[in-house]
This record gives sequence, structure tokens and C-alpha cells, in this order.
Amino acid sequence: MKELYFTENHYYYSYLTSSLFKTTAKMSRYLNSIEDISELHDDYVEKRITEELYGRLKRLIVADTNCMGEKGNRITKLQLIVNNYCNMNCTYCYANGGTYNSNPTKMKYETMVNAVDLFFEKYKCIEYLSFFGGEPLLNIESIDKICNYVEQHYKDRYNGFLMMSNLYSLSEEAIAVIKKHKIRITVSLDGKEEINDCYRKDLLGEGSYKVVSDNIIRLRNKCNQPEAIEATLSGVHNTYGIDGLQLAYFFDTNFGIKCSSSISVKKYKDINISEYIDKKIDIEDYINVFIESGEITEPVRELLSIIRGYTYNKSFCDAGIGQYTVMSNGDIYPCQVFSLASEHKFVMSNVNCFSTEKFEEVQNSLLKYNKERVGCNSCEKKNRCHFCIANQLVANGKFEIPNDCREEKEEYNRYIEYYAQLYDNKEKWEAFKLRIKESERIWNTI
Amino acid sequence: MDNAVFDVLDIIDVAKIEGLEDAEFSWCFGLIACGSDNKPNKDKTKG
Repeated sequence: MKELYFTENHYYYSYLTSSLFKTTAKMSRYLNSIEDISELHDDYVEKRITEELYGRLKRLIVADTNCMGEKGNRITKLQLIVNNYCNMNCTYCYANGGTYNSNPTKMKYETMVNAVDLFFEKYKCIEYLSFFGGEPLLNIESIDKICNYVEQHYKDRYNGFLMMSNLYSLSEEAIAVIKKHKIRITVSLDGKEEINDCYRKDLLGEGSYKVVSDNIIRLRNKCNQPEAIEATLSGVHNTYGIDGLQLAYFFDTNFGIKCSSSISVKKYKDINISEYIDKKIDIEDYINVFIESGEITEPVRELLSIIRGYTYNKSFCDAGIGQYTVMSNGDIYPCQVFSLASEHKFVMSNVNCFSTEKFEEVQNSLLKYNKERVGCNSCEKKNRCHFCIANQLVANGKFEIPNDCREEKEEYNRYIEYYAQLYDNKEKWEAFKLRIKESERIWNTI
Repeated sequence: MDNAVFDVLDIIDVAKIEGLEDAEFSWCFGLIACGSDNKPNKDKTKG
């Protein structure tokens, strides 16, 4: 029973099954009296506890194991790198100007068709087809054609189209395509002009804020896109005293966009950037703002992710199992970051000349990095750990588990504690659930 | 331990009873660019 987390209000959290349980004082005494899991089973066999109660208690101590990404015969995302060049030159770009260290190429329409056909043949459902780059809007013609193709051939087998764009260049033709295919856009922007323009520059080295913010407003007026903003936090944000919550306010006030994501910059090679110094997040502040005005931020995602729970995933990430990326030349990778690893050893084949053998070989090699094999088996956070294998392989050329995960574990426990407190406050919990419903309604109406 | 001392409400699975267990929450995770929908906010990369 060591896996259980306990508060004075008799809440237990099972690390093993990622579930929060509310118990009475009586039950709590009983659970504390059990020294070994097998005693629970003995009590059931000897009819000291009912079958129903045993069934409930079993959820505290028995977890299914699975492999992340295995969701029947469907995958979360097929991502197409529709071109590997960009009309911007952000200082911190990990992809070397969007090229991923390859020759700049526009993905051919035929390659897109091959990619889509291949993965729809392998899987019954692809939740989202995602367009990424480089800068995907520079290949809008082929995006339009492939959307038409998917709508025509794979109706009812996908949920929609996504695009990650810098919105630096937005033609009327692009707006029409986004509207026509209801493409959901996430735009990159780091905050107000002084902050954004430090690292997000155009090809001439000029700041991009003015152009991008005008384009966001133009697109919002035409079709309510972009829906989300992804910001890269750097030391510049520290200098201005800006955190994820203030960024969320800024994006809502200036663009009416409530969904944002703030990610700390990752320093590759010797790029001259200052890294973001994390401060301890006050979870309650973020949740209060979500309840009051619907701002969807990282702590909201983290809490919801804990609430919905998971069975134990052996893998750190579902890349190469539950999602795939096809580069502009047709090469398949688990995700685009793997394409930066040396010797291209994670290329899973090519959509234009597919080899099942190679595909499965890479899948099997990815399984080598599962938590049980690399020594994370006894960690209380193993259920929720999504350490990025690709980042490490690119940065260090090899994969090693971190020496010290104390901070991550402490943060996890803070979320669990907050979850129990939130549920214990009935009025606030109801308001929280109401906001979830409202956010879902808005998502479904776009 | 006598089973009669326990009531079914003596232990409840919060997410299950609230209908949030295994919820998709697409509105929350769908638009985030990086990899797995459930990553912590560290060690992510973006373009």
C-alpha cells in the first residue's frame, strides 16, 4: 500500500493506477491496517469483505499494463512536414531554420497521397492529420489538394486537420483553404513585441510581431482561427517578469485566444539564447483563471491529464506507435525530432517505397527505451513520466535516464494534493466541471 | 473484519464517479504541437 497518497480528509491516490479515491475514516483505518496486498485478497476469499468492495479496492492496487499509443486500430496523429524551409529565422529553432539539416524541399502532392493511403491502410482511424514545417503555409496548394483527397476518400475515418504555423505570411488563398477545410491552427508567438522580437525574427533579422499579430487578427476575423498560441519561454520572459499565466492573459486580451501553451526553450548546440528559469507554479492561480475565464494553460492540461488517469504505459512517448511524422522527402520518423539524431537510424522507411520490415525494426528498437528496461520500474511517477527520448538522443547521442527526478516527483505530488483539495471543495469542483463542459462546447462548435 | 461494517460509499473512485475517467479532453490537448498529448511541460521542443 505504499503507493497510496493520504490527506487528512481520507483521500488516497494510487500511483499504480493513477486514481484518486475518497474514503471514510472507517475505510481509511482498514486500509492502513493492511500490510500487504495479499491480505485484501484473503479478506475477500474468506468473505470478510464483499465482492463489490473487493472490486473497488482492487482498483487501488491492480493496474493494467499496456504500450502507449495502442488504442485499438487508430492513431492520434499523422504529421506531414509539408516543406522543410521557413520564411522566418528564429534564433532558438531546433530544426535549423526548419530544414532538419536536409536540403530544403517542398513535399510533393503524390508523396502526401502515398503517406495518407499508407497509414489509412494500416489504421482504421487517424484522429488528426497535422501539417507542420518548416512553415506549412508555404505549401498551401498541396495542403488544399490533400485535404480534398482525404475528405473524399476517408470520410468518417478522421476527426480533422491541424496546422502549426508562424502566420508570417498569410495570403487570401491560404485563408480560403483554412476556412474550406476547417483547419485548426496553432500559431507560434512568444508574447508582447519586445519579448517576441528578441528571438522570433524574419529572414532579414527583423522582429516578426507586427506582421504576425496583424495576421492573427485578420484570420480571427475571417474564421475564428488560430485557436491556440504556443509560446517559447526564454530568459527574456524572466527579464520582463512574465510567466505562462500572464502570457495567457495577454493572448486572450489581444487576440481573444484562450488556449495557450508555454514551453521552456531547449538549448541546442551553442546557440546564443538565455534559458527560462522555472519558478514554482501556483496551480490554484491557473485553475482559478480557468474556472473564471476559461484560459487553458499547461497546469490545466497537467491536472486534467492526472484526473482522467492512465493505466501504466511502458513507453515514455507514443511516437512511432500512436503517431508518426512524414518528412518532406517521404521518410517516416516517430516524430520530427528523431530525424535530427545521428545516422538517421530512426527512419522507419519511406512512404514512396515502404518496407514493413524496416518499419517494424525501428518500432522494436524504440521499445528498448521502455521504463522497465531502463530502470524506472520502481519509480512512483512512472505512470506519468513522458521523458523525451528524442531530445536526449539528439542532444547527447545516447539515452540515459535522469540522475535526479526529485523536482518532477514533488510537482506531481503537488498536483495530486491539489486535485484532492479541489474535489473536496464541492462548489469549486462543480464550477470546474462546468468550465470543462463549456470549453468542450466551444471546441465542438468551431 | 466484518464486511457488514462497510458501505459501498466507503470508497469511491473520483474520476469514475464523475465520468472523467479516460476522458479525451480534445479541447485541451488537441492543438498542442509536440508529440504525446500528455507530456510534462519540460523537455519539449517546438518549431
